Amino acid sequence: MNLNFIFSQTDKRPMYQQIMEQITQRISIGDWPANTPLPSIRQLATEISVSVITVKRAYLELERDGVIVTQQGKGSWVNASLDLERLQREELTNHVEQARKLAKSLAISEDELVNMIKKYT
Amino acid sequence: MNIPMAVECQGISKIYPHFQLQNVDLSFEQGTVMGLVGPNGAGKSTILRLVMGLLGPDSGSIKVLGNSMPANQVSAKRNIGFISDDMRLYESETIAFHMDFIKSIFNSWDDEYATTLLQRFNLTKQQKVKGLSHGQRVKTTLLLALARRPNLLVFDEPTTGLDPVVRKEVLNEMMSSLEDETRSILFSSHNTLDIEQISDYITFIYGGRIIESRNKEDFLDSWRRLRLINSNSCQLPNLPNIRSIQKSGQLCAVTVTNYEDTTPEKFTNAGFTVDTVERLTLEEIFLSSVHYAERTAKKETIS
Amino acid sequence: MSISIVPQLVKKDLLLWRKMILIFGLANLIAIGILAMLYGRVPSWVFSNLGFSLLIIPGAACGMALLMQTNVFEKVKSTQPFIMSLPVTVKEFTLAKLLVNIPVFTAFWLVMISASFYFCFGLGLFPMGALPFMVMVFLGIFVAYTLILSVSILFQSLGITVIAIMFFEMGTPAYLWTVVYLNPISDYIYGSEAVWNSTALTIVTIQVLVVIFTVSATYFIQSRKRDFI
Repeated sequence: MNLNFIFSQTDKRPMYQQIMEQITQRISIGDWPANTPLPSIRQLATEISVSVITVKRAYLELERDGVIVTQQGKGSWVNASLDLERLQREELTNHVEQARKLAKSLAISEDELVNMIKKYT
Repeated sequence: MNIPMAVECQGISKIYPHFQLQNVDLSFEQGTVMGLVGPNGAGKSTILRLVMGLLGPDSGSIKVLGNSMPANQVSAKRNIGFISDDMRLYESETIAFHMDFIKSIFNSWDDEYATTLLQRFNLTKQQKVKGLSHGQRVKTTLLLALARRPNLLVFDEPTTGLDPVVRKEVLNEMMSSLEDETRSILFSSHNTLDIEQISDYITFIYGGRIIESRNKEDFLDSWRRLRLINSNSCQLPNLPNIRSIQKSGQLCAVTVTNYEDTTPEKFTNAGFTVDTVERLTLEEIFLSSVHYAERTAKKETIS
Repeated sequence: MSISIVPQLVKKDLLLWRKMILIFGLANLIAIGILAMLYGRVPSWVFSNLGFSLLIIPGAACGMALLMQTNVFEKVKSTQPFIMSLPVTVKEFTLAKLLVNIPVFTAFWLVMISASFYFCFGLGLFPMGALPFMVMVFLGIFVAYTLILSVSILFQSLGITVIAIMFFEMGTPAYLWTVVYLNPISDYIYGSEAVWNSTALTIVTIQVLVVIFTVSATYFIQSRKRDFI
């Protein structure tokens, strides 16, 4: 399986969060529907050349968030009872969070940021 | 279920006139990657050579894939692929000569995989070692080590001096050998990015000692830099986990280890405003650890 | 129990240096050919001096070159970490080195002896009385060789090995001059019969023992080395 996960070196977030994002995104846009089996931790790690422990952590956090289900010895798959809407909201929250951080580092005020967002609605 | 250990070093020491490796404990289980980080001369190569049985420890015990070293080095080395920065091949001979030689020793040699690697690394069997570039030479030694499908890879500075393309190829190939979950890697690098990317466990070495050795996620998680604003001229709380403090006017950056959710509170309680809390890269953590180790070593010698 | 890789190591060194060994072998044959042509056409003192040099040089040179390449340059050119990363101990590594060098030199040495003895005693260049002395000469060469080989294995140092070569190669003629002036040897050297008196036998025995001792001591010392890189 060629997953084509793309990581940005300028992304300062920890690698496990970037992996989580890649997976969540595939689920929220519908590429990976409910019950889609995920690659095994080791498979994904070797595929993207990232340590097993990091991928393991990403899977654990995804499981804790209810995005995926993992069963010992059987692997992981996309949670069937996943609240897709909530996931999409979280995805959006993530982006807004990034925007807020960026705005702060560029010394753009909150009001200005809100106005910018309004422009696109 | 108990996962067998790939490497178990307990209290190993090695004394040289100008360098001492002291009381090194280093262990990790099969299926995992251990990265050694340290400046030049810290003792990384010495540790790897002790693990390979090329050196005998002055004290302590070393077990590799269940074999005591250096006593059982022959059976251990049957399952180890070793490459090091200062390892050379026979200049007058071709890559094919070396492949045939290694093949004649290891019945685990995988011809198909060797051919795949040749293609992937863009090498030609008939090339003489003399004419190879540094990158091609590293790839050849890597091929020779990987195609025998060893259970443990011991790589001393595998990516040093490589261009980004080759570096990526080498790291990818190291990782893909881990598809089999009984395989393990022990490697050193002074490039912290390599270590951060593929290691499950990380060990910091400085001045012949291990400063810290833990699982990478815990490592990265436990360090933070807090950017504080000190508008009321308060005293910083005296926390044992503070590793460095940098001040500039009202601004103050504090690096801490063993970070917890309650850590920022301790600074706000002391009258500081916490502006941001940042994670650190492995390089930053390493430098901070080394400086701290240097300072404590100096204090020890003074007192 | 894993199988020793000593045969593969021996084969590797022989393959690596096959061209060099063949060239020296060829030079040796040419030297014998030249001598065969010259025999009877030049004065015998010219022939014996020239012959001695021509017969010994290719073999001695090959022996020195091979021990340099396999022992000293393995270390100097850093191919040793590559070899030592293979399933092998220092002991086996040393055994492989002995098994490459000694047989190759022995082959040259035997050719050297056969050719010299053919010219000296077969064709009657020298009287038979010189036989014990000639045996001592050739054993002396072997002793010097094993001492140099041992130094090259134990130290793997270019400087020390070169010094050993100079020392033992110059030491050998000096020692032979000493031997030839010993009365029990010199008295019979021009005789028509080979006389194996106790002096001659003692010297030969000591020579053989020195060879055996040097080789086994080298093997023993090496097998006790714990650091080998």
